[in-house]
Amino acid sequence: MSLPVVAENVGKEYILGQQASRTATFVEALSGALREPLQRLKRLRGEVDPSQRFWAIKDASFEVREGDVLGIIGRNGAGKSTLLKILSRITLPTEGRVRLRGRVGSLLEVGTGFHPELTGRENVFLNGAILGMTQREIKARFDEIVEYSGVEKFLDTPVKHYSSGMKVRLGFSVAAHFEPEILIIDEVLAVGDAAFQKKCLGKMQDVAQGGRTVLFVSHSMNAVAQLTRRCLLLDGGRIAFDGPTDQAIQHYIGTKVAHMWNGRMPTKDIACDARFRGNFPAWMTELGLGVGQGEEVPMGGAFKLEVAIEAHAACEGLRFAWTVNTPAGQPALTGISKPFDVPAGKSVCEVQIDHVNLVPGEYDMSLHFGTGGLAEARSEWDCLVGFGHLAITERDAGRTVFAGHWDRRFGPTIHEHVRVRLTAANVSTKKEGELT
Amino acid sequence: MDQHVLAQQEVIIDGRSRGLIEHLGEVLRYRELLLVFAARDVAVRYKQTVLGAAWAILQPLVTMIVFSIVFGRLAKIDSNGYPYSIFVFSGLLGWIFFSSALSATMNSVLKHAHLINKVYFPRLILPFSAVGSTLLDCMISFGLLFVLMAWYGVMPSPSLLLAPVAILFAAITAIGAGSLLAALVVTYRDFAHVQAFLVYLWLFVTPVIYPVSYVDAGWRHLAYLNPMTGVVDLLRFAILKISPDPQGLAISAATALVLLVAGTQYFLRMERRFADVI
Repeated sequence: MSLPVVAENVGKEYILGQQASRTATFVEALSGALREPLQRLKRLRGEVDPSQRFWAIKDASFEVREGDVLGIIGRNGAGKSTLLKILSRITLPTEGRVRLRGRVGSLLEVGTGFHPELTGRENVFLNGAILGMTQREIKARFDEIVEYSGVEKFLDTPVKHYSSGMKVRLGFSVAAHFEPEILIIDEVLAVGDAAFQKKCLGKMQDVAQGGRTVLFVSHSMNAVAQLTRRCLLLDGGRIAFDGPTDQAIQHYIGTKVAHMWNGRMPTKDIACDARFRGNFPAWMTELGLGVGQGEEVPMGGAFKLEVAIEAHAACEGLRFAWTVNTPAGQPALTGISKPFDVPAGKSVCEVQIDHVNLVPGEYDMSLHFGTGGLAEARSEWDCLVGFGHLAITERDAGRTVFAGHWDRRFGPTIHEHVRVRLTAANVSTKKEGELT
Repeated sequence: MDQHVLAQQEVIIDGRSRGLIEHLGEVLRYRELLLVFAARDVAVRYKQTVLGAAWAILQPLVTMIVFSIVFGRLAKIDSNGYPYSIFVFSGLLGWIFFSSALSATMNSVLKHAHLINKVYFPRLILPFSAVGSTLLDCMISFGLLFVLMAWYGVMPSPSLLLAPVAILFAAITAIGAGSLLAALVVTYRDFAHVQAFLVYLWLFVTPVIYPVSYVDAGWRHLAYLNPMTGVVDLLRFAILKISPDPQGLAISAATALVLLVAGTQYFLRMERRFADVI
């Protein structure tokens, strides 16, 4: 007996230009047809603009055994959705192939294809058929489905009169009674409240315990750690890691940091508040994160910011102020530096932030630059808002995941009088980028 | 379709293009969903209408009355010696089925865009189920035909058994042309505007309101290149025993089949990209 899922060198390429022309009008296509031979000739000679080619997923090979729960993680745009679309046969791969044994179901399609004019009863049969159940199967489980959904009373009412909650319950009930050999759950797209998501996860555990195969896509490292033992980590359309979940998560956090902090970035590439730009004698031109150990910041550890500053004239009493925010936008940590002076020209400053006592997870930062401190009037000269990701990890590997929903009932931690060191001053602009 | 068979069935997903036969085999495996879609369309069509299924009778009946007045009484179009009403109705029977089947088929893919982006099923079942959903209306029209035949004293003959064959060819034409247009409209929304216009013009090149003998003998075979000419011709033979042109019927049947293969082939070629384009 073969494995439920075997993927061999799966790749999906989108040609960006082509994609655009496809949505154009017929007349444009006709005129395009006249140019087509020329373009084809160019293509044969390998002259396709490589920037137009985009591999959403490339060289993906993996196997999933029966009863396996496979997590799929990766940043946005890493290729998770494309991979799922290929596995659920919505789109075809450009190269490679996948062998599937059994039916593929997804908890995503809750209420997919519900017709508002049809009654609940009719929609159960319709939705079941769309998901891949036979009419006989649905008939056999009809009573269970209805009971589980709790909408018995309204079974003969058109679905358009249902509340959205009732619709979701009925849809979920049908999906939950479908027992596909391969179940796909994409949490990213899972709509619905926390209770509903919990239901989805519960269903997933049942399915896995029943010896079926589950593919689980999630951004929540917590959920992935709890529910899966093996993970695929996708990065830039490729499988960057395939192995035990805890290692995959470590890699994931690593790639995330590497992407955000690959050397020093010009500030124009970082979200910034342009109000201040150019109105003051000095501004920030480059930003880099120099971390103490490795690529992630351990809980309670330290990290360094490296900021390049350009000044028209010598400035005195400058200070940095920063805020670390939770993804929800709440400030969790804030700080202000001791005053420092810069000469005219280009300088590089290093800001050391110690005791980053934050719960492991993802954060973003804002960095402000100006004069004045906590006790004086402050003048903001430049600021970078909500840039990058700061990944805080557990203090050491092997400990239980110290994450979760911390309910904050206290203000942000404030670091005062943080030391700033001028590492290079008055450097010639020619040497830009070589300042470390 | 046994659950067990599906459970063990192996599916290979790759970029390879499959033959028509392979696709039709898959349509057959998904016949249940095809029927469910068709049944849904039938159920929905007359929900929240006052007259309900009476619309299926009213539409051809009113068309027949109007055509009888305009073309029979005023334009005095020859009807091979039969009352014009029954003459035009025998053609309308096929035409109304065809035009509604064509519209349904053509819109079938766009109408299911939300499903195409979420679940797999052979996309080819969409044009088939669209035609299937219009079959019921056609059967109701046949009921109306029997009433009219009794009214005008037209005796049914064994040739009436050929009527379903004519309807089958109308269905084949609708699937062929419809799936071609359905695939085109996914990529080029221009074709949404073509539809009404096309059906309108197509009616005039089909001998529904006039007998096919109106067409010059030299051009007649050309007229049969329109498969609907053959369908109407065959229907008139089945119902009124107006002798058909066997050569013409053969031409029409051949064009219908060519259209079916070409239309579905184009549909299958485009289908690979539906989810990326729709």
